[in-house]
Amino acid sequence: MTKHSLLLIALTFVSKIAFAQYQPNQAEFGIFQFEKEKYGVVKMSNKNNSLKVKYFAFKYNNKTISKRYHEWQLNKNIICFSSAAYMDGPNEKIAKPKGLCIDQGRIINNNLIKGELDGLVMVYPSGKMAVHNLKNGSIQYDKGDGKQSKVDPSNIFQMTRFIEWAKEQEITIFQTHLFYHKNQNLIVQSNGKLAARRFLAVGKDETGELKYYIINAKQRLTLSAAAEKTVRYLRSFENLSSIEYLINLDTGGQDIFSVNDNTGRKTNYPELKGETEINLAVNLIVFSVD
Amino acid sequence: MKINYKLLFLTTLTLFVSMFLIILNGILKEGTGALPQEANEVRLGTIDLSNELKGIAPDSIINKFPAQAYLNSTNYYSVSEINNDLTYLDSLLKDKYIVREELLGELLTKKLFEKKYPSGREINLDSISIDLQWIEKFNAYSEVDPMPENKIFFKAIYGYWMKELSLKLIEYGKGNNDAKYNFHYRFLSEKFNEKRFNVGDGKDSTVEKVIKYSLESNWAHLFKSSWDQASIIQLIILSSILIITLFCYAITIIYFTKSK
Repeated sequence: MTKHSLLLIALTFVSKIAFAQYQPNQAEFGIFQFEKEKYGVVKMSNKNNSLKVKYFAFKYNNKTISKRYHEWQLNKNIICFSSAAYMDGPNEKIAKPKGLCIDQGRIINNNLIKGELDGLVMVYPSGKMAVHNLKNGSIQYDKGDGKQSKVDPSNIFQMTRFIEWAKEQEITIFQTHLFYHKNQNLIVQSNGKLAARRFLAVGKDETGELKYYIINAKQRLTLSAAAEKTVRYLRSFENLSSIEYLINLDTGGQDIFSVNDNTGRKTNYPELKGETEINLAVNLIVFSVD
Repeated sequence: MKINYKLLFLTTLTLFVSMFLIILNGILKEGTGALPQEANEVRLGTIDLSNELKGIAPDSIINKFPAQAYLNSTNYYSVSEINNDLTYLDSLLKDKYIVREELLGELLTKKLFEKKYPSGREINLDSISIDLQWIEKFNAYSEVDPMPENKIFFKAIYGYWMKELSLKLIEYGKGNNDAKYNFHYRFLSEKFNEKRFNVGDGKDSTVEKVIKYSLESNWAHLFKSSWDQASIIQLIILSSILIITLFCYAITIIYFTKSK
């Protein structure tokens, strides 16, 4: 190894430590005690539209999600990543996200699921993210150029036009459980199985600033009980004046969750990490800042 | 040692009868599963819309359209026949939206599907195979038709049928625990998965999951899943067994330590 390459490695190492990946006002994380239980929470600000969302839905050009992520993140300031949509089968080697799924314009799953996974998540190439309620007869979405358009999810012709547009515009789409939308409580009581839970919530604080939260609950709860607790946490602990949406992030077949500190190093708190390694990811949602 | 021939005979007989019943059950199941029958269909040849709609005012066409006759004809089976009907209806109605979405669109999606797959009828894999081959032509046609309205029309019909057929296949898989070991089902599943109308790879039973994770040495996942899905009683029983085992070990260690 030459002196130059050694110097380069040393400089890279020093710069990684010396220069923060993100500022405290852009993102912070912690472990909070709420209603006698511990939650791992990542709080992200979208001030000046600096927060960027990226979703990896499936392997591409024979590259696994893990490989795609590692290549993509090289020049990014990563805050955290998590598994997001449910898997459509138990074998993670061939499973795909459950419900309608488009990965940057490439169709992964055409099957829109109605009546169960009501959250339709759209991630734009710009890194902007929006969540729509499929239970609403008509979805009003941003066409990316500021123009609004409507689509009725039960009309196959309108949905075909919508999917063709998403493919052209390289939009990313997936479906998941939706518990809160535009301040409307959509939680349905269930006696489902007990498991660790994770949610993505977006809401406005007292100053009107839009904040993104990932709330990781390690304790075993039913989906509805965990969603209700999360809403109470957001209202009373984080003092959110409104909740734009609250969606589920998968912790079942794939439980991937990792948070970086502001130097870019992975945190090791049990409340801030998942049980599965990224190399088994079936899909991944990533948050970074400019 | 004295051999009890009576007991030996009874044991052998019981084993033989049990094996015979198991094999007989397998043969009967195989007989009904391997050769599914194709669903019957009524087709009465093509229908000439110019003849059927003669003398009907354009604004009454939607109400007086011979929907049932159209569904009983073979027109829907051929993409070129549908294309001729589209051209003819366009010349009468001048509104491509009404022709494609309210008239033929509705007929060729919901109405035709309800006719071919009425709720409550047993799902037939051969019927799904035949309809899959038919509907795939719509996708190919949508790629080459230069008219944007036709592109969306054929693509939407393709999407509707693929989705509904894949849901039928999922329903079949849920109702037949052995489906994933049936070649016909697996072949169709792969076809739908390949076209991105995913039906998944079937649900594993608890025993299959345990075997799978054991073979993959995925012990951490196996333990976590078992722990998460266990009821409080199961957890109490497991904890009691662990405590008793540890207690026995402790007593043994104490005994050996003291005896030295």
